[in-house]
Amino acid sequence: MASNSLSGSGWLKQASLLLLLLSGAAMAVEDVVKFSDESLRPRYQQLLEELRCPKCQNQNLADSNSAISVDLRSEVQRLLEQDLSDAEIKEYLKHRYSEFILYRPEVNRATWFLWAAPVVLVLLGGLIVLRLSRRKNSGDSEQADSHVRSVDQQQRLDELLNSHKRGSE
Amino acid sequence: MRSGVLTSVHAFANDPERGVFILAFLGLVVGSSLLLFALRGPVVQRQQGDTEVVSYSGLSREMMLLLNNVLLVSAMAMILIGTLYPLIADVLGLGKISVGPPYFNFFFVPMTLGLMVAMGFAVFSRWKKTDVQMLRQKGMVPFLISLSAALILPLFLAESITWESYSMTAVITLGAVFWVVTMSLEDLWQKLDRGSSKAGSLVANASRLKNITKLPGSYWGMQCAHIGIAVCALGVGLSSVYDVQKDVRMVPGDRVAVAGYEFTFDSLDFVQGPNYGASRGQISAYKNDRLVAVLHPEKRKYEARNQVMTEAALDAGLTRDLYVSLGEPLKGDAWAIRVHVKPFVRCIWLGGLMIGLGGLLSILDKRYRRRRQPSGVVAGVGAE
Amino acid sequence: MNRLALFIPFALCLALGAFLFFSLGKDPLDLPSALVGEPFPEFALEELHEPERQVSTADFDGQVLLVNVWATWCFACRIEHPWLNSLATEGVVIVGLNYKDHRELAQAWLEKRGDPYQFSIFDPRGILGIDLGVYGAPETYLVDADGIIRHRRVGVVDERVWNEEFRDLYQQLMDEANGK
Repeated sequence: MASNSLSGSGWLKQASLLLLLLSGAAMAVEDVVKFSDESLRPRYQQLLEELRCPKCQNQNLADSNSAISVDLRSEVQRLLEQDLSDAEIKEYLKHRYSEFILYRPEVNRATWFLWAAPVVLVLLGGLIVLRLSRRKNSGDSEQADSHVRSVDQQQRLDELLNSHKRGSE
Repeated sequence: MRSGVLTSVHAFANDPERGVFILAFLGLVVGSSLLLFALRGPVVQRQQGDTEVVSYSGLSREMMLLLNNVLLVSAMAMILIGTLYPLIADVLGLGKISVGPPYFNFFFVPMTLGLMVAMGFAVFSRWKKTDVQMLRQKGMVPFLISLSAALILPLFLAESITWESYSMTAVITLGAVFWVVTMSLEDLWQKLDRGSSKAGSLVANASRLKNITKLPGSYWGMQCAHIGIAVCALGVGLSSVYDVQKDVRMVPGDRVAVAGYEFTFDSLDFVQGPNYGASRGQISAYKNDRLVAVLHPEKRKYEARNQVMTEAALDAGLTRDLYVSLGEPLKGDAWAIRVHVKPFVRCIWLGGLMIGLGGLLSILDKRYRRRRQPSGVVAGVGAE
Repeated sequence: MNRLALFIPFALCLALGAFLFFSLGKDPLDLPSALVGEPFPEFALEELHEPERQVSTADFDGQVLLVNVWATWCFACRIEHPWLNSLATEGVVIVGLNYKDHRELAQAWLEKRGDPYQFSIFDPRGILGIDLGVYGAPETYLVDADGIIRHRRVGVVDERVWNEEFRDLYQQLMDEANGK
């Protein structure tokens, strides 16, 4: 990490030089993918990560270098400039390339199990935890306490034994 | 398995014949293990001593462990289901469905957050029964610290302080991370304090140091693993929010500013490798006008099949990775260059290492390696 | 725990094994066309040999035909080309879709290897390709007399593939068209 020396004029000179350089850089270098409205760019990035390359083993449009990915990236850009919503763009591509191209599976009859299973699992697990924690046996708390005591006692015994062992080594 | 079963980057077999063999092998190993489990399960249960039902209060350590298992198993099951679903759907004729990161993240993030919240409480939980008041008291300061850190830090992590750059994901990540760390440290402090009579005095500090050696390996294992999860989550959360990538057109001499760094395209040369020829760029990275890294991305053309490969250049650091790669050559001397700044991404690996180390420390705990003793005693020396 | 419940993991393992077994050999990248049953997408592009001539779906002219996606950079296309030539001599109407290619190279390629196409659509930027859901070459579409896509094949169409996937459907479509 740079250590800035904040000594008077030296610092000021550095800052202005930096500003000068940065402003020059901002003018000279342009983005490869140009948008008429910069607010489209984050949507563009997001969409490319959610769309699958139809030809690659397992890459999204953002990472893939195959020809079809290059073409589809341009297509997504074109559709964004045409003011289509994210959902419309995905629908447009799904119409042509089938649902395969969507990394986020749609919620329909074919995928209800996929989307429901994790929720059901967590709820089921939570239910089991609740049931087990509420179940009370009669006259049990005394037994529990004595059990706890014996656990503590055992731990102290272990520590004593260990320190004795260490002492005799 | 490139035998046509799963599309995975972990493919290692390229035809159905090898696939059948691998499937048979796996089926045999996994199947026989599960069959053994089914047949011998009841026997093992009986050997573990009393099977009478004892009640555990909702916040007991046992319930926390159970909750931990529920969340972890659910997460694993979700990943398994998501990975296998395209395959099952295809065999059942439901179409070619893709399941990718959007699905996995949708479930994994809340599950992990739940786990981390519980983790903070779990550190203080007692066997059989935990006092809710105690938890509330112990948790107050960590909660306040976590809340403040969560709300304030994101202001400094973005390049500029604007409404858009204030990220809720960063807030939640930092909150969960600080929660786990502060609760863990508080428990450690408390455990070190045990046995010392005068808090704040030199004697107390000396006894605290001595107590460090008294803490069992499994305790250090737990601390290391929990904090490892926090570190890992920090990496995942922050890198996903503050990751910045730019694809720009540059000629040698150009500079571009990305996420507080300045990258200059110094030069482009042609180099000859053993079986390839490559265009090799030199890009220097500066922060606050000081040179931080010199990167050499390449675009290689392998002679054998005229195959073009992109070799990215990477400068790794704990707080950020800098990544530069050559895209396509453009008109004139220009190249499309991709500059990528990934903050905190190494934390993911560091966290993972800590989790593994935690597991190792627990395994090495002498108590687990002691020869088996009468059941009542064994139950007491249970997992931390 | 119920004794039988312990067998659940084993049973799941068997079920999974069965699924995996049945999907061996299935090509994960063999995508079904999303457009089967849909009309062939509208287009307005130049013909390969006659740049002044604009072609569109109107030029399909109510025929049952194949649309074959090909390019000079596509090695597999050279393998299937002889079979396409023989199909053409038997009277099968084939329209070529020259995909992301160079006009002169494409024309020379056909000169050298024979031209089975009634005409070839010149799609250098792949815009019709995207509308069709093309992701590589060669691909072949079977279009009926009403301009509806009835089948798509990704990959080489040789004699075996023709017999297995196209011939019967093609015959049926021809009969329907001639019956009118």
